[in-house]
Amino acid sequence: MRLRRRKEQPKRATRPASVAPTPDPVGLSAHAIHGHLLTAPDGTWAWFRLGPQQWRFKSATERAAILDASTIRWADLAGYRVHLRRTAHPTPWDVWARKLDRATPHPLPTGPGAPSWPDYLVGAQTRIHEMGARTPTTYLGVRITGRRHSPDELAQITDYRHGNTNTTIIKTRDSLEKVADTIRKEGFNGRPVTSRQLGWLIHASVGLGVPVSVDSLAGDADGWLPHQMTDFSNPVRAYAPSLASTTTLHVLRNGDEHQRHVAVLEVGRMSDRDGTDPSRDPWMAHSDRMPFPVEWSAMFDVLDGPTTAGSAEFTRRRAESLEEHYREHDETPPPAVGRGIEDAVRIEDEVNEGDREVAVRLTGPIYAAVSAETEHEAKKWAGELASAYSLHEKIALHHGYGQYDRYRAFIPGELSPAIGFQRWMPAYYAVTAVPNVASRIGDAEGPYLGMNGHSAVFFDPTFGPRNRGSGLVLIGGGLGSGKSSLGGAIAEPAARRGHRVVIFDPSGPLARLCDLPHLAPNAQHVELSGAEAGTLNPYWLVPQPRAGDFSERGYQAAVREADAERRDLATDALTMLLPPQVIERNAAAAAAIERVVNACGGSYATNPWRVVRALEAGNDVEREIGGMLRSVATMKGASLIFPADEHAATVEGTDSLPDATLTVLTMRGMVTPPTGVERAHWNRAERMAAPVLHLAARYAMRAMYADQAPKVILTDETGIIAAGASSFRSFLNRGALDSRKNNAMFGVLSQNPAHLLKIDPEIVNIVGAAFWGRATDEGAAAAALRILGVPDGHGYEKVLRNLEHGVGDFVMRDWHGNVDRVRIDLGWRPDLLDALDTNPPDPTVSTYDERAWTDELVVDS
Amino acid sequence: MPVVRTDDAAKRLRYIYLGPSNWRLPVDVRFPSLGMFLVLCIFGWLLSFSLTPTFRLALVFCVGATIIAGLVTKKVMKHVDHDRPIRYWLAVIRSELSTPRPPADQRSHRR
Repeated sequence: MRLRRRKEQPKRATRPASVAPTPDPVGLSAHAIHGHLLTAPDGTWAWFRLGPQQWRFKSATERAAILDASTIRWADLAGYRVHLRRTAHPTPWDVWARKLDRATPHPLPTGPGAPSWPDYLVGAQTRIHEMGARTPTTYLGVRITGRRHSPDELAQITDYRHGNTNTTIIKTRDSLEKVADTIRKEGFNGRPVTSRQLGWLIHASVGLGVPVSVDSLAGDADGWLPHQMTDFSNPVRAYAPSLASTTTLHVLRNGDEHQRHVAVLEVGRMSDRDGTDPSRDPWMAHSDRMPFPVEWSAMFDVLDGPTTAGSAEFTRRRAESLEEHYREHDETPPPAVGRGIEDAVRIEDEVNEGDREVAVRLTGPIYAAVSAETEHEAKKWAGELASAYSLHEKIALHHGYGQYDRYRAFIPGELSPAIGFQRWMPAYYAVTAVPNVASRIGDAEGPYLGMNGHSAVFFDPTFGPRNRGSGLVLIGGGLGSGKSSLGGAIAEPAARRGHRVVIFDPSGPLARLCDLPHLAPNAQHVELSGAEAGTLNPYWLVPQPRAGDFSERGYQAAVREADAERRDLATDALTMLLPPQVIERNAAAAAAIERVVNACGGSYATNPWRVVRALEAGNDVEREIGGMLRSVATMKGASLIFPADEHAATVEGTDSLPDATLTVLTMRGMVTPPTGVERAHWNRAERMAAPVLHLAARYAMRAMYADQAPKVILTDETGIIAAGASSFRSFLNRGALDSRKNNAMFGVLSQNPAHLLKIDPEIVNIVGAAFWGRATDEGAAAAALRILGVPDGHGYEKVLRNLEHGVGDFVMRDWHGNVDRVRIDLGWRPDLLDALDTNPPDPTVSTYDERAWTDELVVDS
Repeated sequence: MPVVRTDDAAKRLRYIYLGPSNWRLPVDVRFPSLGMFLVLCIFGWLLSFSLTPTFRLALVFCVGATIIAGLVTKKVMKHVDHDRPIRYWLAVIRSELSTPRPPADQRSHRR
């Protein structure tokens, strides 16, 4: 053959390149499509799309329930042939951008030269496209009959309006109804595809790895007739040299010619597995971890117990006779024979005596495909995929010959090669593939936040409140986990959308957001340390409820509640200003403050001096406390609590926050109370800081009540925790409830999950969404899991502890309660990344010119 | 949840012939190997008798054909297993023969 080809080559070389023979377009076996029905040479198929199955961060019990439900669904499909196709839809970034733009009627105006809102949208779309964002999707085709129905008959099968007396049509329709009913149920949660979706799948399968153009789907709304089926195959030419390891595709889409090389691998030996093991992915979904897209195709015959009983008996007898033959020769059979007999006995028992779902077997080949622009890359990726599966899933993937036929096995309606690499597995093993594992997290409405594997994550800060949920968002993690960067990554796009953003960042790095050119004209940095005396008066930090938000009875209750909260806040703040020894040694002191504060009432904008004067007019203990408070009232920090005018009812100019779109409140120079050190050991500055930091957080919170427009409030936990449990609990409760009423995201940056749980064990019930970065130890990881709503003790602590440091790796719980890993993506925003970098400069990077130093040492001799 | 497994361990087993009960063959013979060896032998013998002029020479060629059949069988059967039976390789050959070939100007492929 080779010699003959060499002789022919010179003749062909004489032909002009333009008339060189090219392969014919890929011919499809599918005959016609109507709705979700497709006629193929081996019968009529119905195609469905399986619903996303939440899997990650589920407990073993929940996972077992999911697997059980799926096993029953497979058992329901016994007797049918199925074609499972796992592919990935590209993220529709253009649709997302249009939607986000529509939801942003008043973006922040920017000055000349500064990046505008449209610039953001274009940049985000480009980034999503560059990242190859996609969503894994699973389709399931079921052969509902072995009869090839004509296009007219397909229409009659799905037309329920008119009765039909044709028994063939009636039988097929009955079969379709049974299959559709099965696939709709828990375990598959599927629904019939539209003809457009089926068209997309065929296009995507014929041109593996090539984007499907929208124009190519603009066919008949009901489907494709036989003469229209060439729409799928005409722009695709596939070929492969003899014994090639890839199939080459030439695809014409949207006027562009694409060339892809497709390598198909066959699934070989598969290891034993515990489907609920959290340390292992579902075996089909593991391919999502690969840096390139992987397509799956499995063609199974679903066989019930009686059908496989004969085969099971034959297998057992064969194994036993093999052992006997070895014994005849006085030889010990290899261990594989013993294992084979053990397995054969189990199989025979299951198919004969087991329950229906235990008896059902799936048999057929399973293929995985990768496609790349060059043959070298396709082969390399195929090798990497096989290596990853061998290492992590203990599944052998073989890259063999006959690539063209195996490529065709991905196309709906094609016949399976069906020889070699036939897998036999019980349904309860097949379900551990969980092909429809969900990778969706976040919402499809907000700005682009990052990636979850290969899926883009969008996060709208006010999605929760807008949908009657809590707006409380907890952002946590150890030092350097990227909490501040994440806070900034949420706040910055919100400000660009024109939403009001207020950030309380005591240490101040986030103030650099105010310097970004596109935010600067509408941003204000407020340094609270130098604010006017009385700015943090506890009595006006809890706003008066709005009558319109409540019923008449509810309003009265809300007013009483606000009144009590002001008194709590004032009591806590004033108590914290006193040396702890005074409170500890004299139990009457704390009671005295509480008594006098209650006597003064909790009406809005009460002057705290009134409490001091009342104390000074009281008994000896009260007088002593009053004197102490008067003496500290003018000290740094405490002066923010007490207005300059002892008799003023309100402090003019301090009852509202600045009018800027972005406001960053800082308290530089304020000493942070140490965590883990008893209050008795705090110095005076630390003692003063505790109530002030807390009240400053409440001050930021006031922005929530300004109006009903969407807004974002971010605050650091430092001061809140220092203020004590009761204040903290009421702070979070108010944040959760009022954020919902006022269309606000109320974000709290935290470092210690155990501390949060200690103060409020039920915190998970009021959290709308949460992000948690790398946990430093097992205890912190377990506590963080509880905040994320994930059951602890199932091995997920390890996931939190192994999150990567400093790259924005978080576990996220979204507004719907879905939990998964996300990586915050700021790589496309160097300006924002610089502004949010709170890490000190790397000491290993020296700006010192070593050469100059060396030169200095050179001494002329 | 208990550990689950495929049915592979049982399905993978293949008949092996070790010889008559009181005489052990020097090798473990798999039935497909035996079949292939016999087919190759018969083919080789027929070829020997049809191409050689004398019966004596034909017998010599038959011995050679038998040895060659044994070696070819051994070589080929290395690639035959539970996942890739002989039918699989026949299907691969059919598939390779029916695969569309690249245009003449792109036939520089080497695996």
